[in-house]
Amino acid sequence: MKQNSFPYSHWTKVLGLMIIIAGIISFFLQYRKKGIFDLNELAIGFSWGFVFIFFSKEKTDDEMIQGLKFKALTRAIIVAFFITHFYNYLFLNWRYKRDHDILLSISAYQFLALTLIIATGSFYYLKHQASLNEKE
Amino acid sequence: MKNLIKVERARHNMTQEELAGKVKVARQTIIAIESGRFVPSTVLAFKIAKVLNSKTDEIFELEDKDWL
Repeated sequence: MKQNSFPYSHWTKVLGLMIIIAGIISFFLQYRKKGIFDLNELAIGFSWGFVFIFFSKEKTDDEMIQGLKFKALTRAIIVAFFITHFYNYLFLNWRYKRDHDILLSISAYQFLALTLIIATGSFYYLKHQASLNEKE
Repeated sequence: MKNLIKVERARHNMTQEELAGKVKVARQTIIAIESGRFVPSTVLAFKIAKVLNSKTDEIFELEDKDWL
């Protein structure tokens, strides 16, 4: 009954980290070139990087790890959805008029990056909590 | 769900690391099961019982709150 729920090997976490660093460097290079903060540039790097970090296997990938990842991802989607909705409402659509305005929203890359950052943080927190105060 | 893994482990003079290696899970998973923070699947429960030379219901026991 061997299940491999996560597609990437453990080493792809390093690849994910490199993509995030490349995204940050690219973000600042674009800022120097154009003079604007392009958050999508940053979000693309973060979302690709965190896809590799979150969906890669842990050193020992067992049923508890799979359960914790599922729990973390479920929580992250709910939290990120609420944050996105409130951000859109408060900062992008505050003066929205139903008759002639269109609804604005953050990009899909930004939503994905936010979700995966929360999911990854939540997963490591849950993992830490699961093995707390029980040193042999 | 209560369990007597810690007791049985001590009886067999086995560390968490050794048990984890025999049932092919991380040591953190054994820690979480022993402290009741994680309830193992049926397969893992049977594996643990087999490694500790016991029956599954001798090691794992339902509590009242499991029926709620």
